[in-house]
Amino acid sequence: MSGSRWYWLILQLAAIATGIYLANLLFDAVTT
Amino acid sequence: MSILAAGTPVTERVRASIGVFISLAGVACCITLVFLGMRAVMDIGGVCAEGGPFVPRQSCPDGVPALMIGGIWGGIIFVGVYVWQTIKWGVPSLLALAWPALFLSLGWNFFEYALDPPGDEGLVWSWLICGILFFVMGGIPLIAAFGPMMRNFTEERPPPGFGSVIGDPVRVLRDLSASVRSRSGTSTGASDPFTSSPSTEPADPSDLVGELERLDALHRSGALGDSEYAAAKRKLLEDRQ
Repeated sequence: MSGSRWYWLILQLAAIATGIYLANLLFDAVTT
Repeated sequence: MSILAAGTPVTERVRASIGVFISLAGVACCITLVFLGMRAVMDIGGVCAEGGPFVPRQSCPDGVPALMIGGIWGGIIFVGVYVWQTIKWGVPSLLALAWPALFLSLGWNFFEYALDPPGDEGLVWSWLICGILFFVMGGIPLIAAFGPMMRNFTEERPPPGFGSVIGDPVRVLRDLSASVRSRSGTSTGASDPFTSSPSTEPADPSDLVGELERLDALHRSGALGDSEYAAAKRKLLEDRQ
């Protein structure tokens, strides 16, 4: 796997993790 | 032009990174909101209602209806933006995970609450059946799409365009065709559209302009780097002299 493809895979996995984290923050903020 | 091609300006890479990151984070955020909203509703028995002409028997938890509606519509919009960004920049995509993520996560909720429902109820068969259905709907596409999707990350040159988003149906057919032919002992003829490689066979040996145009198209799509393009062009011109 070339460096560029590692970059895009890691960036997108980080995006998913960030999205899940933000959703939990938002849900807790709105429902409590 | 693919953002993966050599010589792409740093500013283009930054713009692509921001666009892909924000849109995919939005997709993940919205799926998670739907997942959490469903759990909040199932905690109070699985049904709730707000407003309208009838007095609701069960009010929804505060904020949950807005979050679920926002999650569903936001998810659709963010998926659209993500597809647009990955095609625009020629970036390998994880879109094939979105549908399985949605159905497997909601199916998990059904399973969990079917086996251990709120209150003193025993096993809730209706939720269990929904859980099985959702697992099948999410699991089969995941198994089918995971391999082609990851090949876009592991192979050197992903197909340009929509193929890089959902895997490559042409490549799947080509692999299947080669597999069937190898089992049946049939040789792979050059005329086979799935097994022959168009990039290695000149369409017409006398058509120098056509060959140069093909090389240029490969270069512009990012399949050939600058040095590879220059070397191939030089060799082509030398061969014709």
